[in-house]
Amino acid sequence: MSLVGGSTKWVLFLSAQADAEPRHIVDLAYGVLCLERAGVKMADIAIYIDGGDRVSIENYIRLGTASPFVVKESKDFFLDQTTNAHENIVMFVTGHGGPDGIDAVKPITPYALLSCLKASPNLKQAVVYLGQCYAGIFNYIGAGSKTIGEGQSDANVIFMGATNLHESLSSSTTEMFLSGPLTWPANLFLLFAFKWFSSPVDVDGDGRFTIMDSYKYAGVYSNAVNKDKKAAGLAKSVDLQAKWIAAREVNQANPSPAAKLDEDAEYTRYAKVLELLYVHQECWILNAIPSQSIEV
Amino acid sequence: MKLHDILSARLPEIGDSVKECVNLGEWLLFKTEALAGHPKAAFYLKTDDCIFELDDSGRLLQEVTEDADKLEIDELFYFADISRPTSLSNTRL
Repeated sequence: MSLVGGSTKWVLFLSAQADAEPRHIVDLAYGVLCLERAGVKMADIAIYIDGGDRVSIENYIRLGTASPFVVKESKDFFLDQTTNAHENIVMFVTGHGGPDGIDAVKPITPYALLSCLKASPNLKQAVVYLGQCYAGIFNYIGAGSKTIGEGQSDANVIFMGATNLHESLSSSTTEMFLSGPLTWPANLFLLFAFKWFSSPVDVDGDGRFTIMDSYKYAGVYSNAVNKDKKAAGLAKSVDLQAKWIAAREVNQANPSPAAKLDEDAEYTRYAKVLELLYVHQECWILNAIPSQSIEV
Repeated sequence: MKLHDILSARLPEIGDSVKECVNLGEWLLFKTEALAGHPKAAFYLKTDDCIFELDDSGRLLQEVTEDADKLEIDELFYFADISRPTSLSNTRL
């Protein structure tokens, strides 16, 4: 079976307790860009993003598409799924995560997401890319298809995580959008997953472009970039620390809002390198066998 | 949303480290069409925790403490003469 052109709902999902961060919205704008390049129709893409500034959210998404679109809130996803008419769902989750689940007004637990997908009428399979921190809490749950009586089975759910029981990593990248080049700290696993959909690669050489290929591609490239960024960051970290200390001393000697801003900027640059150096990211996939036969 | 590249000399009051955060995409330098209530602000700077009003030279005016979520981001700015990250999606191994 094929996802693009089939009965597939493509979900771009960003829930948040308060306002979604711009960098996470751009993750999804890049997703829209890549999915349309892959031949997915905007009518089959559903976007759910939380936040009070709906205009800015739409402005960001518009960077990735010239098609008309609607951005709903995360709670609408769970409502929409009660009347699902698609056989397949491919879902991309970005934003924050923690031990309670995906960040939201009421954090979304693994059981809540899995139950929603399993209960979706007509749904046969769901593929979920989880980019948020601590995505590994969604691993080791009963995602496979099960008989629910009278010859019926519930949906086969495939979860993939950018990271296990650690934070996930983002790195600054500049990508070409419809309005020009945009720079943002991108969720690396999602960046490469989206890239794979726009330019599929047959990683395992079986002659097909499958979800398993997308997992291996996103994993290999995000790990490679992380290693390069860590090495470069270590080399720069001493210099960045010295600059931060110097800016802090300037602000302490002659405090002012501008000096505080400079100190914060130096600390931000230093802290981003430290985050990279001290976080280990390793992707994972749950219910891998069906993913080997689901073609894009 | 419009994307602009400007020279760093266009905003001389902004420090180099701030400009580098902007070019990394960590902080946002932007303009909004919704200027009601902020007549002196030419630009806005969004950091990790705050949004500041800047004048036309980049001088920090004040922190936006009310209705910050109503500052629609309509134009984003980067500095053309300060390095920006390259595309990671085109990484080749």
